[in-house]
Amino acid sequence: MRRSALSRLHPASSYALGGSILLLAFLTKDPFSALLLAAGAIAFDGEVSGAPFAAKRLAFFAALTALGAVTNPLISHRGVTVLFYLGASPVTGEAAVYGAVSGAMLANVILWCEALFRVLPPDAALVFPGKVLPRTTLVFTMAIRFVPRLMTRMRQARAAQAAFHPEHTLKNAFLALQTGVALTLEECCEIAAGMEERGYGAAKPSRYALYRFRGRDGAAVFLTLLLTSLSLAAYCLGAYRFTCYPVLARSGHWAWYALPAFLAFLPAAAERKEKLQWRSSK
Amino acid sequence: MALLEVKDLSFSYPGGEKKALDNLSFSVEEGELCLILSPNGGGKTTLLSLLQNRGDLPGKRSGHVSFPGGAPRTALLRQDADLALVTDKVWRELAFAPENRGLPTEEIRLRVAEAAGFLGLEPLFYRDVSSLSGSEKVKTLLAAFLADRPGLFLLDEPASTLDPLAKRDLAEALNRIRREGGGTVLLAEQTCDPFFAEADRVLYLENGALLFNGSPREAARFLLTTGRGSFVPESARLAFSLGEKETLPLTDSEGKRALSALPYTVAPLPRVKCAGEALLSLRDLSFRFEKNAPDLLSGLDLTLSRGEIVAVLGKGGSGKSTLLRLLSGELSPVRGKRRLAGGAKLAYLPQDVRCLFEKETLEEEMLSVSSPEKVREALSRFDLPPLAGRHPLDLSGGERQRAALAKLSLIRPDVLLLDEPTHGLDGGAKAALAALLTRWKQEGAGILLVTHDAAFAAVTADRCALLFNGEFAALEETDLFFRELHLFTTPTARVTDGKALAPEEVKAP
Repeated sequence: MRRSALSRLHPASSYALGGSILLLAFLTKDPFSALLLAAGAIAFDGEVSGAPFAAKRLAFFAALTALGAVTNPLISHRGVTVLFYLGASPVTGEAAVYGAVSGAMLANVILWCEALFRVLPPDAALVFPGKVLPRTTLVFTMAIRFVPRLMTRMRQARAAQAAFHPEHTLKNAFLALQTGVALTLEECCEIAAGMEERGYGAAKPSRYALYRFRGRDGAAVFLTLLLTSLSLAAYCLGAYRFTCYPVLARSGHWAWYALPAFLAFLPAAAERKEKLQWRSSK
Repeated sequence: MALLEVKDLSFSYPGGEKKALDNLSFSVEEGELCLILSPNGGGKTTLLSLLQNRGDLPGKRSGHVSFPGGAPRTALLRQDADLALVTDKVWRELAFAPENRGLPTEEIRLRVAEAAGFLGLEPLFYRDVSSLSGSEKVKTLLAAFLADRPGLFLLDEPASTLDPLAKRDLAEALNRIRREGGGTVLLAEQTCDPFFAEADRVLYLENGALLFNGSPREAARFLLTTGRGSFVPESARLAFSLGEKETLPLTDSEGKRALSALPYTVAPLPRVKCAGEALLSLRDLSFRFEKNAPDLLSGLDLTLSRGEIVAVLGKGGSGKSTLLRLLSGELSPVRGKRRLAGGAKLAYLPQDVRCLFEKETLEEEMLSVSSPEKVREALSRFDLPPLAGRHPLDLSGGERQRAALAKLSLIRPDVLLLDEPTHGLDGGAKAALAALLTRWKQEGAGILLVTHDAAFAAVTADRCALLFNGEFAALEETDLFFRELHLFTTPTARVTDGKALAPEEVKAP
């Protein structure tokens, strides 16, 4: 996980912002929103991981968009602007734009998922269920350890038993599985005894909050919710409506694009602000 | 004031002919570090379980355990620290007990911060517990216990898998816990270093009976005069063998001072050389656990020959066990090759020897491999006949290790890979193992062992290697290897300034 301004926020703030951007990336079907969101993601990648990395992400976005633009007209022949004929089938400009927008949408979702995955602490996702269902969250974190433990025990058992049962047969594999399961279950009993000794089940559990919810987290959540609500309202009112067929057409005022632009560039702007503050403090 | 009083405590497991604990009486003062020593199966684990008031321990119990000032909260750290870790992150582990007690968030935050800071756990705070080394796991657990504020710490061989430096770290942490944290510590151990000199009191158990209860210096005298020298620090053993009977040194520095005033000669141990053709060779062997991680093992070259014992030493987490897992075929190298001579039979003793057992009793386990006569001989060699009817997984740590070695001894492999073979073994069992390995070597086996036990390696190995930063920092003949080292060497070498490697080499003139 890379340290960034976003990862330093409370998970409630960082996940709200990330979730809102992803929601918009899923919903908006117009090329302008797609370009704004992609630019935000690439700018954020550039701030966190450097310009060469951002250039690679830009190339990825361009490639996926181009792939959509090339493949869709081969399948769909809708649209009125015929660019040329491939055999007897017309290749239309509208179908190419539709494919490019679809490719850009898919690229956006991937870009943002990857960018967020790189900076957000994965265990922070457990903050929310941990508050409501502390025991279930504990079982989940224990299960995370159980599966690799069982796999390791099975591999160890097979390696240790190979001197006595060298053949690679199903029977010997089953023997290793049997030993692995028996050991893991026995270990689970010991773990359970240890948990009881450490107070598990003794009282109604409380919750340790690794992350503090500070004023700036509140401000970030407020801003995110405000921008997301306004963007969704604008979306429902048709501010970002864009149609490809039969001809390319858009409606709504250009000013509405300020909302997704603000949201998409917020992570990169926060990153830049931290960098400037760091430099001025030196 | 006594924190704990034990009076006439006896205990027998169901179906057990002899008592696991036999009429024990002793008391422990508040803030003491009490070291409990005993041979394998001497009753250490049973005693700690009873002191922890485990009502579910099946068996017959008599006598009393009382806490005059009121029963304190107890924390029990078992032999395998990995099994005491419940969650996936270090910080979650520290918060586990306070959360379960339902404490307010702010108090948990304070306790977690205090415990982590006290034991210097900040660099590990956000780490996955699965990525921790053995000593880091023990330290994490101690901090997790501290956050629960227990009055009594019960530790069951916590250092058995730790390297010498990590053991010293643990001894220091325990000292801080009792001196500054106000805790009382009962520490059951097989090996005495480095806890012996730090202890306020030593209890010695044998066959469930308490044979000694007193100060470390008195304990050293008692153990040496009654032929139980393997339980005392080597400095005391050396001084005692050279005629010092009164003021026995307990630490390396005391031992150095004592030996400088005592005349002695050094007769190096005879080393039987019988190395033959190559059995196992590694060329440029490299490994890492994750694609983008640095190599854990990087470009290792080694040839193991018939009739040779090679020991690999190194700090915990340096990749020693991983090397054996690669050689056993459990893991595959990312680069390089491992070549086993054609037709050679390979056997592997993993660190967790329970992987070797498949049957309901130890006897069945052995009979599934060899004839009754050979089984009888193997059981006798490791002093196991009384345990033949027991389930292998019900044996104590040291007994289980002996049982695994006995099972391996039945198949006579050409190449033997041993991961911490002395783990949990008492002095007698270690000597038996050393003799057995030497015999196998003379019969033509090639043995590669990884160990923290420098003294064992010095006595058994022909060549030794130090694994550091993924490479063999040194790979030399044993005598040369240990004489070149100053810190990772044997206790005897430290006390004699490298003149001798084992107490057996030091003689009175």
